[in-house]
Amino acid sequence: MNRLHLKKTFVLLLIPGLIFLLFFFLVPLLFVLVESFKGADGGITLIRYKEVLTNPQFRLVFARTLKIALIVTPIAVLVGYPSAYLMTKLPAAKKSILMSLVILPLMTSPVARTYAWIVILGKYGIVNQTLTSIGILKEPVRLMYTEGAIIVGLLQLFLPIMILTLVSAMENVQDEVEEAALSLGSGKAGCFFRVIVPLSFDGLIMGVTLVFTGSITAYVTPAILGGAKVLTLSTLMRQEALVLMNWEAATVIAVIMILTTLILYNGLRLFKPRTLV
Amino acid sequence: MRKTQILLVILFVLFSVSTQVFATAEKETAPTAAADAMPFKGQELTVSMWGYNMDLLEKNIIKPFEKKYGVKIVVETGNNSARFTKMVARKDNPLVDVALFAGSWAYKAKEEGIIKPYNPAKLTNLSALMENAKDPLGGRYAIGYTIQHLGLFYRTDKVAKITSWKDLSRSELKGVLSIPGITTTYGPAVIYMLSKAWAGDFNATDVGWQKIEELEPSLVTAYNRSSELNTLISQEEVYAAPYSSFAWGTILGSGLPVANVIPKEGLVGSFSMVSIGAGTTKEDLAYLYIDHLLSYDVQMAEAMDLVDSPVRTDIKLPPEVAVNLTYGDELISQLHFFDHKKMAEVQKEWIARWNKIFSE
Repeated sequence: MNRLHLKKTFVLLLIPGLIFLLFFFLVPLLFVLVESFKGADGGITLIRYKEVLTNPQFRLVFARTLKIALIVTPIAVLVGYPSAYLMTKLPAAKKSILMSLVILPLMTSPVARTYAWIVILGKYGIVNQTLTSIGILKEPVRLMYTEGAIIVGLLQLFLPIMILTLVSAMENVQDEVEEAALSLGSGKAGCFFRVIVPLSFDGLIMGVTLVFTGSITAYVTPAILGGAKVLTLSTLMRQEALVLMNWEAATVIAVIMILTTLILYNGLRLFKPRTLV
Repeated sequence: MRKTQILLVILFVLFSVSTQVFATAEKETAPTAAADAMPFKGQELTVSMWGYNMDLLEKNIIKPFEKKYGVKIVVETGNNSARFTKMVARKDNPLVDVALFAGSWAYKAKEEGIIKPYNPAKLTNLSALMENAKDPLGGRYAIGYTIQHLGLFYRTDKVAKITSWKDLSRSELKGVLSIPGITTTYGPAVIYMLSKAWAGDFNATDVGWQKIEELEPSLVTAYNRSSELNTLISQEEVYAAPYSSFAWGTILGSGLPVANVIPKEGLVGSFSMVSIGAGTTKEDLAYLYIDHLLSYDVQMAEAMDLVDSPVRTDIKLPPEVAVNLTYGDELISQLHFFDHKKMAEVQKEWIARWNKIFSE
């Protein structure tokens, strides 16, 4: 098969996916973007952005949502990276078992998983009961309907995605590269940070982007575990769209969510280490 | 191993397909003897309604109607705001034939033109209803098919008896209290009742808002659905709260020692309303459904199952059931019904005010 033929085949195989993305992603995205700049008279205006960005409640909710995402994401990296590294070093059978355990939560509805946290974090839930029975707490503490509950719920939701993304990236790092580094005098930690991490950085960027985006845009988990006292961008957007029918404000919030994620993604790429491999 | 796996997959696919084939075959061989007596047989009627207590609604309302008329009820469930928004978005291509809304949302639906006036001559059960249920919005845009109230409940084993809306400010309720969110049916009603309790005037809403601000730190959370309140109660996060009377059956079902009260300032009453969707092409069937909803059998069944309180004046309930519903002259005479137009007008401002208090 010559190169031109391969290229044509490659393009043909891409077309269905690209058409799907065009109609079900790009077009709706453009629609949202255009709507966010539309004024009452149908003309282009920034008034919607001004209304939202100068609203103190929006700024508070945005800061809270960002804070939650910036806590969830690094924890997912800290837990996910060593887990993914270990899994790539295991024999196939054991790796398969661990992969199944990682994937298993993803096969459960996020709603069901989130509701399970009510039982665990509730006033008389497993955590409070354990801590009071061993004497660490004198009486149950408020765990539900807090930012902490949202963080825990989001971490459980998105950690498997971080692990899977990193496993996929690390599997592309050949064992010989690591062996070469060790044979040239690098310690295990040095090898991990100076060889493995740079070579799997693209996977890290992808994992961080997915987890951060998911945390910024999550609705069910903040709605159930945070409740009405802990509004996030998605619950605020729902209120604007479905209660106040203020679609303009809702589209502005959606655009801000997208921009935040794009800034993070492109910002991370600036930190990508140079590699010789 | 591989062959076994392939065989298992094939068997699974065959099983799934066969269940569908047999289900279809069962429908196709259903008896057609009564077809002539069912002029609407085979038609679908889309009803926009809440999903709360859906199993009982299916038993008492939907299945009997489907069987009687040989039709299929397509249910669109959700809370008021989600269903209202959907109907407005589809205004030029309406799908809903019958819509159920809480009072203020039915008012908004009327203003938005997504529901239309009914013809009383086409409803044989209308005359049996209490007077203010027949046309609660005016212009015959809606009928109150059930009456509810916003009550107060408390855990009898955890807190002292509650007798007033003022009691929500008691220090013993700190951290174990919830109230309905401002976007819910009864959210605004709490403001009015706190205004009445603390200022003696429903319309002194600045006082009510001040009390909300004082209560906010004490709240576990504000609930947006009755199912959320049920979870809060069953998880013992909440020992007292205003509650919608239609949820009382489920609250009792938690098995926890609870009591409901008629506070000295009174209770908030409201009708859940049913309307004909504007643009419906199945108006006759819609009228039959509404008449069915107002029928003696349905109203009695819903009451006995503690789902909805009846609006028919000929329903006589046993005392042990009546005490758990919005029923009886003594209770209904203490209900305050608010002006839906007024509540719809302040909605945007009040949501912003609420968000300010709850975001800080």
